[in-house]
Amino acid sequence: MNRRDFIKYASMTPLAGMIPSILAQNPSNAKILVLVELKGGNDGLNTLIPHGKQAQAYHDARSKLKITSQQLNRHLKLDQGFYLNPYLKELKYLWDKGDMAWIQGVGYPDADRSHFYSIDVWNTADPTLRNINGWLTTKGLLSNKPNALNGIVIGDDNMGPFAGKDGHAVAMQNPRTFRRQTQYLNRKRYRAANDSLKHLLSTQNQIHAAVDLLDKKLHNSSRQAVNFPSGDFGRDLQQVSNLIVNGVHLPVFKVTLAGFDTHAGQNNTHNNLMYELGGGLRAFYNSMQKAGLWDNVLVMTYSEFGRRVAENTSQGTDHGSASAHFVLGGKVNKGIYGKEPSLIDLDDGDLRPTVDFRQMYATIAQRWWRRPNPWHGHRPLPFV
Amino acid sequence: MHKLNLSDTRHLVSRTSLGQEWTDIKALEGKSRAEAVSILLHPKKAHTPRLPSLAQWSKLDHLRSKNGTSKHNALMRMNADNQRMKEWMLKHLLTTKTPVNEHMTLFWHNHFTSSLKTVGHPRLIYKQNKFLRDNAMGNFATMLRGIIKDPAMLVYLDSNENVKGKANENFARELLELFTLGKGHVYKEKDIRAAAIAFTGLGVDLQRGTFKFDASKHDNTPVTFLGTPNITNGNQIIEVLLKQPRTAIYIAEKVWHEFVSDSYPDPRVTQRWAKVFRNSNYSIKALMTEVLNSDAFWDKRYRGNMIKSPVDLIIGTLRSLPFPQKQNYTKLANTFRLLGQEPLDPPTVKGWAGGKNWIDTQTLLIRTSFLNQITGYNKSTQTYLERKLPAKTKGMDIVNWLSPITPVLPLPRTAGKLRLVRALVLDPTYQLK
Repeated sequence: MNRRDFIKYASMTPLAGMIPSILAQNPSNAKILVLVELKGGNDGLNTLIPHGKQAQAYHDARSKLKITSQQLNRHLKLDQGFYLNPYLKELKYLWDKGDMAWIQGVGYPDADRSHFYSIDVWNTADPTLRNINGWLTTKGLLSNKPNALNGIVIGDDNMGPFAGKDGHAVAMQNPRTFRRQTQYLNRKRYRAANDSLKHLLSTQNQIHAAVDLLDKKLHNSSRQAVNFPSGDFGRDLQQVSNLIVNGVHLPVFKVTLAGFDTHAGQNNTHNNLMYELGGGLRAFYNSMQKAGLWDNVLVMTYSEFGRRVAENTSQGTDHGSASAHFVLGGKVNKGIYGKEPSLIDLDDGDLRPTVDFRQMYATIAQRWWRRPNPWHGHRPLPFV
Repeated sequence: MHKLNLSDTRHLVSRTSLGQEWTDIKALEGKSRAEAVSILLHPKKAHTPRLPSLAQWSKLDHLRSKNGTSKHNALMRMNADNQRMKEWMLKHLLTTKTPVNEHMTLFWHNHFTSSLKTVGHPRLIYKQNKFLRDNAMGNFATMLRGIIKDPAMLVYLDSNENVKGKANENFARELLELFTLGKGHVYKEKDIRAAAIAFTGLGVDLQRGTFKFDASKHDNTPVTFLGTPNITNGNQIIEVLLKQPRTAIYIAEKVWHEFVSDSYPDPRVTQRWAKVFRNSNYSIKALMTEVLNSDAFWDKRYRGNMIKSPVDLIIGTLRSLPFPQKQNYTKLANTFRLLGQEPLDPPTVKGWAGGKNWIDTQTLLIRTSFLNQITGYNKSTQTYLERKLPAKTKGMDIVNWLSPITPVLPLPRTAGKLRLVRALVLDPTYQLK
């Protein structure tokens, strides 16, 4: 059989296209991205605390909300005068181990302060919002074979960075609910008479590929000994962990921690969120480490915007622009990246971004997945 | 004269109305194309239901400018009002007596876009929605002349920031790129700048929610726009655009994408439509009469080749099938959010991309489970349904009523109208129109 015949016959085998291409990969080569959306706009200044040369400016702007010097002990000390939020202390171990990096001043020019608008900007990588397709559907980044499955969004009903007709991802509350939702979807293959029907068929097949994959990998799967914190976020991370440990090595998983829109009485809310974030991710690390997969994952946080530098009169903060984010993973190069935004020279009360968020995406494309960088003009950072 | 059969009238109705109501498609059966189109395009006067009760937004606007708790509360109230507007719109779509006019209103809403979330003043969106409905089957030139003074549009495209010495080009750019000529046609960047200058001073009185022209912010310097010199105001810009043949072609192309196919339009066809449109001084009825009588519209190639929008699918099904429903509009609005077509809230200034973009793994599951849920029946509804479904119809009529092309899955072998309806609705071809 010559090559052309082979392709002809291969394409006639009904299941040939159904197997997600990523499964063909050797697990030890898997490059998994775990996105953690901090929904509502995380206050970067109270997450990565500037306690060095800008300490005074920080104290001035945050007379009620500041994390005090007494709270910032040496166990929270990072680098360049920065300290970790005390409630993130579970992650300090990963910093010490060399598996955590911070990127400060992440944002985009003329930031929009609407939640909806700004998260769309992050999801589409397009500040002009002409593009409605998620950044993870950018051509050349991940597989675009008709039935490919590139990611799973857990705990949200929004495809976010996978939005659009070429998403190749599924969103679910959890695998079991997803399974139930798919039972009414047609499973039969059919001859598609036109382009629209072809697209429907391909989408249907992507969903079933996901169901089959979950069934296969999660059937009789081993329960992990690692404990995750209770609460939605811990549970969602546990789902992701279960999937990965059981061999579901898709390029992307996404989880969400919501509640960061802290306009009033910020401290308690924010501390609780930091505690959930730190505890959940530490458990995730434990689980990956145990399975020998810590080198195969890269965790990245993001949020629609940071918050204003000055606190408001309700002991809260309003919508701002740039913020600090972190990455975790066995292959991460420890450090604090990006120029520190000034707390004095502000843009109408907001930090001036020093790192464009597309540089984060460019880094993932080029340095994590070894793909060409589709965001020309946005240079990757060496954090991985 | 060719007489339309049931499959023909289903095509005509499902592309121009909201769904495919049996009585509507049955009423046009046996008519000629021209007769059927003329009936469709002459509905009675469209009615805009009263505005739901909303917060006094002049007060809201004041609170919103503060920081902290009051701002938070104001935003919460605004979101609640936006939600109320969406439910209001869905209720109207479900109950309107003039579905063809409403389909056209949606078409213009997707052309002259403004969104609840960006404008932030639900009452202004209401006003714009009424304006679009009143003119949806009237005159495009009238609509264009009106839209440059529409408060929601002016807020949406930052016109209040477009002032003498600091021209904001947002409105001018969209006017050329999205409303009249289309990107890459006729105009250059300098024309955008010129138009922005001519429009300086047009804005909104946010307290009253009305259009306002502030002469002190208007730059009276004469500019040259698309080769026409000595332009000093926005009205003149609109008149120049209406003289450009490209404007009518651009609208004809959009009409092609809405009513005929997602595929690239046949330029000979759209140019012919554009000529009719211009010669009628932009009568929308004249244009639509030409379109719906054209061979392209009826071409078998294009039948059932478009994906139903969430409005076509959800509203259309609820209007067309007599399942007993007590509507929970909050739940329905949430379904529309998940399906990517929030009423009065297009995602970008380009509107909804439509076509294949309606379908991803998320939306396909939601579409399917919605259809499954509403066609699921029990003994108590069964009798009701059997009675309500079209009487004395053959199975083939039911297929022609609901399926735009031959269903791809096997139909049930056991008799029962209801079973057949359910099978047809759950067939993948039901997602098409």
